[in-house]
Amino acid sequence: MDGISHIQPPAGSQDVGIYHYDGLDRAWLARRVEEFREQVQRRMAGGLTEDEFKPLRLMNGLYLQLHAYMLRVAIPYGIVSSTQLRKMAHVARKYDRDYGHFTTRQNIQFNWIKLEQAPDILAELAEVDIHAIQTSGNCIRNVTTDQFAGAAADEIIDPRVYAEILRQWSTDHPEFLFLPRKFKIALTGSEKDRAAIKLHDIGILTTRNEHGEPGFTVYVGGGLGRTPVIGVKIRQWLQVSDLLRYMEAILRVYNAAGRRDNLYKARIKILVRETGAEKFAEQVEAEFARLSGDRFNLPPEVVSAIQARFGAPRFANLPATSTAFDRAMLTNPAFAQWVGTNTHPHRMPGYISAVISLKPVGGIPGDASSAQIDHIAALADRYSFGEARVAHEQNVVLAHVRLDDLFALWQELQPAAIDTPNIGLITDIIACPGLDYCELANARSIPVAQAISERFADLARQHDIGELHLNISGCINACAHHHVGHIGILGVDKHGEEAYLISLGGAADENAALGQLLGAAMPAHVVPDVIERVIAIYLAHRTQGERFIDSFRRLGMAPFKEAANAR
Amino acid sequence: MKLSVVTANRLRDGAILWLGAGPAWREHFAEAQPFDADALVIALEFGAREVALQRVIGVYAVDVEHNTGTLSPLSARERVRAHGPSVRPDLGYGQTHNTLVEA
Ligand code: SF4
Repeated sequence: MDGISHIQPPAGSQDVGIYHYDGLDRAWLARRVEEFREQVQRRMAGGLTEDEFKPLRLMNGLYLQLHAYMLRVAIPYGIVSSTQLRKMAHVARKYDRDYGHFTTRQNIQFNWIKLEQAPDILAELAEVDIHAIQTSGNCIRNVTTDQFAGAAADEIIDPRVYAEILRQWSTDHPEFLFLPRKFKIALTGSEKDRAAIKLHDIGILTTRNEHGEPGFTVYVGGGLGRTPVIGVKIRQWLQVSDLLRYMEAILRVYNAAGRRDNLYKARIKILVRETGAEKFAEQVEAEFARLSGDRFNLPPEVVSAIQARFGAPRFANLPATSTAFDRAMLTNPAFAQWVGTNTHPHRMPGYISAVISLKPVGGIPGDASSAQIDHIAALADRYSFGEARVAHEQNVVLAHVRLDDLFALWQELQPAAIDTPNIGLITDIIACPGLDYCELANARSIPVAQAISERFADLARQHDIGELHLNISGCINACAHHHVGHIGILGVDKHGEEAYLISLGGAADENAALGQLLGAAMPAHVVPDVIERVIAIYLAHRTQGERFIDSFRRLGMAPFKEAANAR
Repeated sequence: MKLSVVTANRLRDGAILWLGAGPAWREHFAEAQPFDADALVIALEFGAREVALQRVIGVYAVDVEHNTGTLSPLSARERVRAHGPSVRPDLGYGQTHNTLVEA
């Protein structure tokens, strides 16, 4: 296509751990931007009606939300370079209202986009190899993975590579662009599930067989929304080279048999439930056997070629411990507290992963100003080989920080108010945009999150309560995964008023479980009091080292219900 | 008496609009004109023509009430549309873009 040759590779080092586009990728993306530009022009000139245009804009991640158009930009498996982050900050500043919102799908959303500017925004994003394609519509969406991919000490394979293979396979896949319904795949690179895989249409857990070879266990039919379902295992062991063939088989069975007559029954979870997991697995196996091994085989050389397109951080040979780090831990309790919650072990000696909280007390979960995004980009450059990750919990991870540098990094978080030591605690709330932004919402999520965050602001108290996942969705679509929060809150419409249902006992990890309802819907102002009473029961009954979720499993719902209803 | 106002989104930028006197589309909810049932029919017809002219999309009526002398939408959803996100009221159209515009 004319005009492609001028497109330069994005600025930034090839060491950055994202998948690096080549000329073909960039040419494809440039064509897609120009195609959308032409579609927007036709719409504005009256050549396309809204009904004709809507599916086209949705294919490019452009929704019409409560206040304006909203652009959802894909961050493939949540990994982003500092150059890309700066571009996002630039988009927020120039085209939006100076902030972006990181989502539970590891994407970023801009809330105040003008249709007439959308093609220019996409062209700017394409300059740094990012786009909004397949962030909406009944297609395979952004493949998500573990935010510690390529860094975690317990990793068996690097899930980025396989997520990228799935991205390439699913992008513009001619058979799977018009599925019965949207389709989400999550993949985790270790046996520890940090990507909530059992809540996805397909969940892939990396494991080893008895010979120590890496491979995958496959789950299907997970999902939340109106009919929450925990995914079921249909393959205990899938060898790596069969990944695409097996994915293709699942999608073919779903595409052929999934219901298109009823929006609420169109997800694969309903098909799996109606068919029966065992029979569904048999159908997949039959399709798998029919598919040509040659065509869908994933040979090691292809995996290596994709792997080679990822930048590889040049880790230094470091001792496993750091005197500077140890000294700071001993002398600075605030730093030690932050390290306790906001870090994760790294596979390389002398390195650690740091989690930047986007959940300040009373803040809006997942929102970041353009200045904060720029600041994170600068920190990524200085401390983490120019890359960052968006976690599905709506925080940001700098994956490869030297232990020696961790104290300096922490000090630099403070000026941007992104140093809250609350990862995994009660104020690390996952909240969807709710009625403050979302066209589909029944009730607001953010003010409820803010009220709970303020109620439990005291850090000593949060740390005493310990690990607790609290999720708030503004409607049954469950974008904030409230069904699997240890405490889940769902906004509902009760006779025209906003009201909230609380559930307890959900979990999103390898022991995934759906929460149980605590009682009837209540108004927003009551919610923090009820949470407070629930927490009091936990604190009164917990045994040594027992987390909230463990106590709940041991005690059952009864004492919590009794306390919640005691007014 | 039941009162309603008419709202839409502007095609080119998605901005929330309220039908005001003129009739003309306004960004500021305070300039929305209340209609009784008969007048609402005519206002919605005007809105439908505006849709056909590709100026606005999604025209519909919003029930409102008089609340201490000013109009206020009955539903929480429409109050958020009228005044901006409750958590960022500084961003609402009436706050930052308090301009009279032609669709
Ligand atoms: S859960 Fe509902 S209100 Fe929240 S973002 Fe999703 S669709 Fe919107």
